[in-house]
Amino acid sequence: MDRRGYLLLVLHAHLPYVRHPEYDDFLEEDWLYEAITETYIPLIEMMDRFANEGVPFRLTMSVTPPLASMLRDGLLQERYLRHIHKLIELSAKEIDRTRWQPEFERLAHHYHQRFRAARAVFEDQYGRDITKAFKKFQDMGCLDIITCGATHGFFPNMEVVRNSVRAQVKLAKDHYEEVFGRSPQGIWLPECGYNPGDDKILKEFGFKYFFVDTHGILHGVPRPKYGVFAPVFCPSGVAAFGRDIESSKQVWSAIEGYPGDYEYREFYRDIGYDLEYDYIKPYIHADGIRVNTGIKYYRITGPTNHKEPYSLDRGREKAAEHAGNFMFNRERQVDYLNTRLGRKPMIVAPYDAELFGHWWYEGPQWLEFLIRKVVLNSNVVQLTTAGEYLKENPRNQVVTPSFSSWGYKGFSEVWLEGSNDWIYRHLHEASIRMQELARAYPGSSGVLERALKQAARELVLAESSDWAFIMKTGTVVEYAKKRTKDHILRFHKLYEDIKGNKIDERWLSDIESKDNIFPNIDYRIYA
Amino acid sequence: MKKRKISSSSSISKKSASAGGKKKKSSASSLTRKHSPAAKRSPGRQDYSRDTKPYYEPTFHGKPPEFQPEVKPAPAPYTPSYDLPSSYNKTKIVLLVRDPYWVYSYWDISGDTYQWIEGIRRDVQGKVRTVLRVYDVTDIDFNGSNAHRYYDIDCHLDAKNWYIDLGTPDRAYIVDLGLIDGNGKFYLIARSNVVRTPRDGPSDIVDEAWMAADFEEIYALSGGFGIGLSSGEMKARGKRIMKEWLSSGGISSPGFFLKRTFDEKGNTFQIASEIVFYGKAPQDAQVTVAGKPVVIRKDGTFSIRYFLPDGAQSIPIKMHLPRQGETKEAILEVRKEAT
Repeated sequence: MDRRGYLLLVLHAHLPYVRHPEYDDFLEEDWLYEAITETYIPLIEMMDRFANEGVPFRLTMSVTPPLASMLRDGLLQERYLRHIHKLIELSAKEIDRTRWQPEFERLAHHYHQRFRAARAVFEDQYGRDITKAFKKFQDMGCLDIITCGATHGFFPNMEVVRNSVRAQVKLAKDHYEEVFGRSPQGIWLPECGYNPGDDKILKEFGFKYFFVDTHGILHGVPRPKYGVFAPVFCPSGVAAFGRDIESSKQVWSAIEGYPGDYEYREFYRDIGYDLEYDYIKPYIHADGIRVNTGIKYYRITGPTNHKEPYSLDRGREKAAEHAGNFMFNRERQVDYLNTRLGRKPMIVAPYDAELFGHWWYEGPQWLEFLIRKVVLNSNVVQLTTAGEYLKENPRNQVVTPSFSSWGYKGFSEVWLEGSNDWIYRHLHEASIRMQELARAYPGSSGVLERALKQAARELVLAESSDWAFIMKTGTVVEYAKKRTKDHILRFHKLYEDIKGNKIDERWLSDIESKDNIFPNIDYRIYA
Repeated sequence: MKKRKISSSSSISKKSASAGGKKKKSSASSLTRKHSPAAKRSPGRQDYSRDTKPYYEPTFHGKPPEFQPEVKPAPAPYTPSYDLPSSYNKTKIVLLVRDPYWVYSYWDISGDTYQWIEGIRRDVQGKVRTVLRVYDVTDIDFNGSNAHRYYDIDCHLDAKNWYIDLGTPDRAYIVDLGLIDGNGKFYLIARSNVVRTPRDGPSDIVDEAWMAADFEEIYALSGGFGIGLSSGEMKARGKRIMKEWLSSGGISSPGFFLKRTFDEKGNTFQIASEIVFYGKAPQDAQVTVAGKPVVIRKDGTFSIRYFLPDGAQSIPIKMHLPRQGETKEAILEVRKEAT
C-alpha cells in the first residue's frame, strides 16, 4: 500500500482518580460510570467489530494510570454494575412512559438496548475489567496504548521538583507494565505540557515518543523543516509528534466543529433534569440532587432553547457525512502537503476520548465511519501509529521542542492563575519532603514501608492537574480543593509520623483503603 | 551543522547595553499593556507599572548582595486542623513559568528570617522597600553580579506570591527577594531557581542539513500564520493568528467531565403532564394497560405511568386470572387540551 500521507488518530482517555468507599453514592464517581457506558464501551464495541470483520485499523489511545486503576478496581466495578442496572430499569420504565410519544419511545428502546449491551460487554465479555479489551486490541497490533503521567500531573509546574516529574513517569511505566503486560513505548504528556529537557526523563524510562501541541514543534530549535507534519527527535532521541491544527479544529471547535451540528443529540437535555422529581428520584443522586442519567431525547436543533426530538437515523447519517468530509479534507491536505514537503506528511489528530460518546453522542459512529473509509477506501491517506511511522521513517530532524501545552493560550496559565496558584507551594514542599523520606529510608519494611508508600500515593494524588483545572473552570471547585487539601494534609501527617517514629497504624489502614491507587508503588523513585 | 542566523536574543542584550534603559523601557511598556490585563492578576495583589521603573545597570546599586541568610529547614509540626500550613518555616522563593511573558513567584519566610528582616527595618534609617530583583541571566552562569541587566519590582513581603511581567520570551531569569534601604543597599532574603520563558515564535536558528526551501510557507501550512496566507505575511501577523488559535477556547484544553456546566435555562416556562394508573390485583393476575403488561409487586399493587399527549386517549385496562379463566376490563377515556 503506497499512500501519500499518514493520519495518526489519538484518543486521550483520562479521568482523575475518584473513589470514595466512605460514601455509598458519590456524585463525582459518576464521571467514570458515564464514561464507561457512553465512551469506552462504544469504542470497544467498534474495535470488536473491526476485529471480527478483519478491518486492519490503527488507533492510538492513552489510558491514563488513574483511569486504568479505576477500571480495575473491584469496588468501582461493583458500583458500575449497580449504576448500569439502574439505568436498565429506568430505560424500561421510559419505554412505558413514552408510549404516546413514538419518537421518544424509539429512543427509550434504543437506550434500553444500549444499557443492556453495555452491561453485557462489561460483565460477560470482559469480566468487569475493560482494560482487558484494550489490551486485546493492542496485542492484535491495531491499538497503540500509550500511558500518561502517573496521576496526570502537569509537568511544567513541577520543574523545581524534578524528582516528582521522574516519579510521574516511572510510576506510570510500572503501572502500564502491570496492566498491559509490556513496556510502554509512548506517553501522552499530561495536558501536552512539555518543558524542554523533560524528554530526558522519558528517555531514562525507555519511552520512544510523546505528543506536543502544534507550537511545541513549530517554535522548536532549530526550525523544524517539515513544520508540524513530521515528528522530530529531541536531543535525547525521543520523538515528539505535533498536533495538526486543521484536523483538530474540525472536530474540536465549538463554532465550526462537527459536534455542534443541529442534527446531533443535545447534551444538556437529560431526563435527570427534565422529568418529574418523584419519578426520577430513585435514579439521580442519593441526596436528591438531579444529575445526568444519559437518557436524552432531543437534538441540538438550533441556537435557542427550543429543541426538537432527536432522530437516531438522521444523527447517524450526519456522522457518516462528517466522516466523509473529514477524510476528504485530510486527502486534500495530504496531497497538497506532499507536493510542498517532498515527504509523506504526518497528520496527528488527537482528541479527548470522552468527547466521543459522552459529549458528542455520535462521535464513536463518526470515528467508526472514518476509520472504515480511510482503511478501506482511501488511496491517499493511511492510518498509522507513532511506532509504525518511526519504523518506516527512521530519519527525522533533531529539534528541541518549545515549552508548550494544549491548554487555553498554549502554556501554563490554565493550571497557574489566581484560582489555583496557591496549591504549588504545598505540592512542591510535599515533593521535597518525599525526597527527604526516600533518601532517609531507602530500605524499609512492615508498617514503615506501608507509610512511605502511602506518602507517595498521597503526593501523586495531590499532583493531578485535574484539581487545578476544576478550580480554574469553576465547576466542582469545593471538591477539587478538598481533594488537594486532603492529600497534602495526609502526606504531611505521614511525614511527621514517619520522622517521629509514631505511625498511627489504624489511621494508616484507613487511608490505605481510601487512597488505594498503585498498590505496588515504588516510593524509592523519589530519592 | 547548526548555524545561528539572526539571533534575536543576542541583539536584545546588545541593545540594552548600548541604548540603555530608555529604549528598552518603551518596548517593555508596550508589552506590559498588551499582556497585563488587570483581571489576570489575583485579587489583593498590588498593581505595578513597568513604565515608571527604569532598567538598572548591574552596578547601579553598588555591590551585589553579600548577606546570605541562614536557611534552617525546621518543618512546622503537623496540626490536625483542616487548613494547610501557612508557612513551612523555610526561606525561599520559587518561580514558575506561566507563558512567554509572565512568571509566577511564591515565597516563604522562616521565623528566623522574619526576625532578621524586622531587625533591618528597625536598624536602618528611612523607608525599607521589599523588592523582587529580576535578573536576566540568559546563557550566563549567574554568580550574583554578572546578569545582563536587572530591575526591581516593589512588592509586599506578606503577599507571599506575585505575578511578574517579564515581557520577553526565550530569556532566562532569576529573581531575588530582598529589601532595599534608604541608601539603596540591597539585602537578599532569598534567591529563586532559574526559569526560561517559552518562545512565542519560530526559532531563528536553522540547521543547514534540515533547511526548508520556504519555512514561512511550511509554518503557514502548519497553522502558524493561519491557513492559506501568503508567505510574504509578516511574522507578527503569524504570532497573532497563533495566539488566536491558542486562545480559542473550546478547541484546546478539554476535559469534558470536569468542565461540564449546564446551560442557563433563562425564563423557560415548560409544562408537561403524565398520567399514572395504579391499583391492586392478585399476585398471579395478568394486568395490561393499553395492551402493555404491568408488573404486579409482591404486595399486590401495580402502577404504570405515561406521558400524556394532547388530545383524546382511550385506555383499556385488563386483568386476566389464568387459573380461574376470568377476565375483567375497564376503559378510561382521557382528554387533555392545552389552551
